[in-house]
Amino acid sequence: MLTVAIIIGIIGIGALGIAGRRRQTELSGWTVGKRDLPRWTTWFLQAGESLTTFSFLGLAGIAFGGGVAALFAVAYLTITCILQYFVVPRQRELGANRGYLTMADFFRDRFKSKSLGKTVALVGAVFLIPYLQLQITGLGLIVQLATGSESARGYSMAVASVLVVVFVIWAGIRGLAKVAIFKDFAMLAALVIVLAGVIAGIGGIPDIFAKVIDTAPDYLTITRPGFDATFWVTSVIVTSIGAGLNTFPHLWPPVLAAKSGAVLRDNVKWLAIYQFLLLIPITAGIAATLILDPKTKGNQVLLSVAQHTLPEPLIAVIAIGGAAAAMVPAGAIAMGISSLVSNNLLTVKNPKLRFRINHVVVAVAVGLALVFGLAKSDIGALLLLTYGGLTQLAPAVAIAIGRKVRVGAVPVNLGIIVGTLTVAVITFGNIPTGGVDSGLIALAPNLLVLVIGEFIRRRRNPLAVQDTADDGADSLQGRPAVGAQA
Amino acid sequence: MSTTLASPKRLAIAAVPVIGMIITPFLPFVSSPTLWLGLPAAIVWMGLMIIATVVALQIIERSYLREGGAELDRLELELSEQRRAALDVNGPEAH
Repeated sequence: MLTVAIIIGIIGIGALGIAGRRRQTELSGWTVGKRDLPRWTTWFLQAGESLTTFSFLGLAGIAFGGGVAALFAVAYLTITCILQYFVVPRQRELGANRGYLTMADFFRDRFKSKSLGKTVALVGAVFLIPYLQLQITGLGLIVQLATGSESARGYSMAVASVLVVVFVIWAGIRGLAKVAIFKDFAMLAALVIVLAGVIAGIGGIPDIFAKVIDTAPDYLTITRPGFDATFWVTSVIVTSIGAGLNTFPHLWPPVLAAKSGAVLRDNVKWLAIYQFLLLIPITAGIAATLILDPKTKGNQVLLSVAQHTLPEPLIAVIAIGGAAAAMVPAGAIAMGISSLVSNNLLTVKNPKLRFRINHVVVAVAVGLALVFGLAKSDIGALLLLTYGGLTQLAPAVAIAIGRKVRVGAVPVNLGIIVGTLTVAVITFGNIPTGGVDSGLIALAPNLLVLVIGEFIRRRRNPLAVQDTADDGADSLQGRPAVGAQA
Repeated sequence: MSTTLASPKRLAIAAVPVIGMIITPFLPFVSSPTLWLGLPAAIVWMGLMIIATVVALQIIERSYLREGGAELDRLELELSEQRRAALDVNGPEAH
């Protein structure tokens, strides 16, 4: 019965994305609409990254192992709001003036380099696949934990994947926005139910923490093994830089589709409030140390607590909220990958063919992530590459949002490649870093190569510095859009 | 007075909560187990930093709008509307 209720809920989420939307027929409308998304639509799309399967499964698990160190996610997401307040209105302005559809368009245009656009598209598309798998696997895990059924896990992953492909292909960013609104309310309901369960089943919040301070006081400090001050500072800094400078390709469509920079500023100046919701899974994770076996896997903590404390119908509500938290980011990531491949990586001149290829890529990307998920392939290490690797784009973003771009594409490209390879070597080589985030370490060689490369470029051609992208060239009329290849 | 959004004054205001969050593990009430109002001091501190972030961004926004940003916003909106009108006449951006 629980399985049926959850599957119906997942189908309902998919139907919501399609309902009332005319099928999108061209890439720009599908990706960024008419660049007129109003404040609240943009709000729910921008908030997407705050409430994902990580908030649901990962955060409670980190709190279960690391105590209040799990607050690092609250810290970096809040700092991200501050950085984005200054950064994303500029990205939107450039996007609207120059017709960007993707992050790679921004790089291609600002550095006047097709090869840099292709590098960014390749890096972005490849590194987003593990992130997509994480969402689909997380959805399956939520259903499995809620129902106790292994087969329900597989069915739910397959059904949700098909629905994500259908509503994303059908309605593009507007369909995604509709589901995102539902997702945030469902997550809010689910988290409030979890909190109520914790209070009813374990005890009042002050009682819980009074017990924790007596039994395991280090849960209330940032000192537990693997979750010390070095972990905190480096993780918060590197993730804030990456997310704050908007280096995740799937987060660009909401920015580019917004009605104005003022809309984006209005949103991010309040969005930090969302992080209060994350205190619920963190509290649940710490409370779980009082009732669960210490060997409980981190990802299972939140739903195990819910099962200990709540009746079945409420578990279904939590599972549907968790499913929505997976399906919305999955849709956004699939859009991010497909638009990078069809618009930047491949050279297709026919707009209709390009849009069809885009649809095929959505299906292939989600299908790949589903296959990896069903096979229980451990591509978790690739996920570390997702964060660390994409953060290597941050120096280039910082350079490109300036009024004039005075740095060459080749040094920037080399820096990105060296930084990304460094993250890969540290991750796959299991090189000990003393708790320092590999993405932060990799920024050093990235910047070094960028500076040396730029120095050589200027020595070889002193006039090169004048050959730059300039805001003065931006205008509404008379400029071809760079987003869709002419 | 600056119409540049990321002026030094505004960046300095924004830096306050950022620094407050980064140094969290080193604060004395976080480095030793402490409860405030029945909650871990780290959680209360982070709640205060969220509020500080919202307040800082409101101050920055007001300063920006007061010092010429409101006019820039109006011009941007006008340009966006022209662009949308052009789209309605000429079709989608894909040329």
